[in-house]
Amino acid sequence: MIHTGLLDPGFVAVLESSFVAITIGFGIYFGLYQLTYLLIVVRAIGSIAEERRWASDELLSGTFASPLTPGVSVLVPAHNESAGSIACVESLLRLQYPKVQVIVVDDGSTDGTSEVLREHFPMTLTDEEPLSPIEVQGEIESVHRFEGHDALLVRKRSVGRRADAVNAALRFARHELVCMIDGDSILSPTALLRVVQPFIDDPTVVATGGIVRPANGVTLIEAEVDRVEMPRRFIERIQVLEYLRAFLVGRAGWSAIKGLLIISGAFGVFRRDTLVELGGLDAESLAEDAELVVAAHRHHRTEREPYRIVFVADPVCWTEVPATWSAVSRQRKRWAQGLGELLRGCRDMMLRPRYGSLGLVTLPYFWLFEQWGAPLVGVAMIVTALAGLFGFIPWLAIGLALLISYLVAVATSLLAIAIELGATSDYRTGRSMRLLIGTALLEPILFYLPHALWRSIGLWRAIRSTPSEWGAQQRAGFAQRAEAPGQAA
Amino acid sequence: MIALLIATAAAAGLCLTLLVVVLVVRARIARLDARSRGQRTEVSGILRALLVEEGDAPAPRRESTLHAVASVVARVHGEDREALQRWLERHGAVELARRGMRARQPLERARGIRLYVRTTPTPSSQLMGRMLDDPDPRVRAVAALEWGSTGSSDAIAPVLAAACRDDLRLPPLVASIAIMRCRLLDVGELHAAWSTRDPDGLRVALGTGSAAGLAGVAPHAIAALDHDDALVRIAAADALRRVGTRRALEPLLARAQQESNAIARRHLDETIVALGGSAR
Repeated sequence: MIHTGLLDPGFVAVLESSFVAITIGFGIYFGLYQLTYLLIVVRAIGSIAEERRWASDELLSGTFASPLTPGVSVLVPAHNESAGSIACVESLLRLQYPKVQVIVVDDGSTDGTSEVLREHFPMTLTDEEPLSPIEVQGEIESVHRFEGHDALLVRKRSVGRRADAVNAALRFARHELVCMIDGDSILSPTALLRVVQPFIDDPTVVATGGIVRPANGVTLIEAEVDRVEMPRRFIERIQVLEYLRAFLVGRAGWSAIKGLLIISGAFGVFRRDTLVELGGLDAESLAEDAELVVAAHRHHRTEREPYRIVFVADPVCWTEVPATWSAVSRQRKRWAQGLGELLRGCRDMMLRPRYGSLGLVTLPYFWLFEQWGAPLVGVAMIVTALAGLFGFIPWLAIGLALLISYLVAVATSLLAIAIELGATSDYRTGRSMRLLIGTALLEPILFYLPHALWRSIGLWRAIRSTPSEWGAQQRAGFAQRAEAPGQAA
Repeated sequence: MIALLIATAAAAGLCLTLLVVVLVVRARIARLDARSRGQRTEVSGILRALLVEEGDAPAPRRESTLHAVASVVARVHGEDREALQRWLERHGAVELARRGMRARQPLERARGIRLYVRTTPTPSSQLMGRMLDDPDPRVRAVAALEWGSTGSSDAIAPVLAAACRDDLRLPPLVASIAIMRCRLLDVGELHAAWSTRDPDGLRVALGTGSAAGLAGVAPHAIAALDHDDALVRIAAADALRRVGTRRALEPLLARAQQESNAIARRHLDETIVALGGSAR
């Protein structure tokens, strides 16, 4: 403990009350954060439960046969995805959907992504002309057409941005709707049928998104998910838990209050007209998916047009998540930088009633808690430690406060696990449950601080407008299981 | 300090409660799985007795068995269907369905509709029409889909009218699926769309009418080429591709020249090519 006896008692009194006030301020801040999150969770539970009760497979087969079902162009930007791209494209070619066009864009890969695809799928060079005048920065080098499928492989020079690859694909898209997925993702066979339904029923729907799950630990048979297990590495398991919180709970909750900010670039469907009208994705942005959703909100609110952006808590896209701490660190810094840049770009929408729930709830929440939460955790730690060292706050009190925040963090994860269990059957085995609960107990101890540090670095880069590129990620590809003898026939 | 201690105890209590919730949810799901396995066994026995052995089947142990057997009715035809319907009626399914259709809970009303339509050989148009006016949109959707699943052409006009009206509207996707399941033989049955020129109604009528191969849709599709709504113009172009003749080429070319929507223009071009014309 640091002795304050040599200091002026008046100064010490001011210092003490300042430290106590700041600490109480942090307490209120974190309390408010948890309360807001709890409200979102409650809304999410209501909407997911309602959706599940009314889910009908009958509507799916009807959607397939309906003459109103619009065509979908699936845009697949891929950068060094040779490990997972075949499974990804195979899953897309097997989608249960009446009209699908697949456009894979190899964005300057150096691992032979194009070559792997050309070896596996017969295709021919074509002089296909683009249909939309979307600006693309990287030059398009070649376009191949898959034989026997409505699919293209576009090879372009990389400018280091995923958005530029998506824009290149968008130029060739010819259906009313476009679906964006990552080059390392697998769509469940009925995912498109489910995620497209809101567009048919309501012409004011401009975008929908679905659940994204980590594919690590998943076993495939013929490009379809056969078995879901918790992945082996702790860092992968943490991400499973994070995805449960973010997609199943978070986005369902934001969608329920009509304030959805992000439709994941890993699985989102948009009206092609809207995208073309907006000039495609912002190629300068690191959070191009959220940027697009914000642009759609802004456009329709400004034009005073009715519109809806919907999250469908059912269709599933499986995507490979980073399997090492260093890759997660790079990804989280990039995400935090993207969020910082996004929020800076929409400052004028913040707290403005004309932007509805997005302006009044979602953006302030993301600015206050998602963006500044990480650096504030660090500052709170330092202030609290100093208050302890000066003897202004008893160590027991600090310990209890830390214990409370740990327990609340664990409770949040347990709530997400409970919702997941009730909603889907993916992680219902005893082993998966034990591992999920174990991860929920360890995550706040082992992951929160490094995560806060990465997010702070990302925010710092956003403030300094540091240039950034595609995240280099080591891909393992999907685990494939051979069919049992006799089954193949 | 006391406040902190209370907060810690509360947080720990919350954590433990949620842990228990997780375990309870899992146990409950396991119990539900076991129950549905048991129900599957019961339903299999009933189906075997009625359809294979063609004898009498035992009475259902619970109401949910009636719903499970009724779900099979939708997938069988002829004598098998009649045998199941007779068994369901004998065990009070019609009464249960009618009661369900009057229930306060929308989900109960929806279950009631399903049970009623699957149990009754010819569902009452009056009763089904009333369910299409249900205040809950999901109940209306179930009513339309179930009525459509009977294949009866009686359902077409009321379902389409429900998709065209301002209040208590039926979603166009649901209306199109329901009508596609019916025997659509006469373009006059789609009258509600032609008279109201409602965009959703027109899309449904153009889509289903042309998918059924009704040539009478073509004049309506030509008229819809100038509709304000781009989705209707797309549906009109698609309808002409299915049932149009070379006589439709002139209005199609005229429309293509002034079409500002890129997707609608592409649909027009495809139809022009399909009908033997040449797109710009």
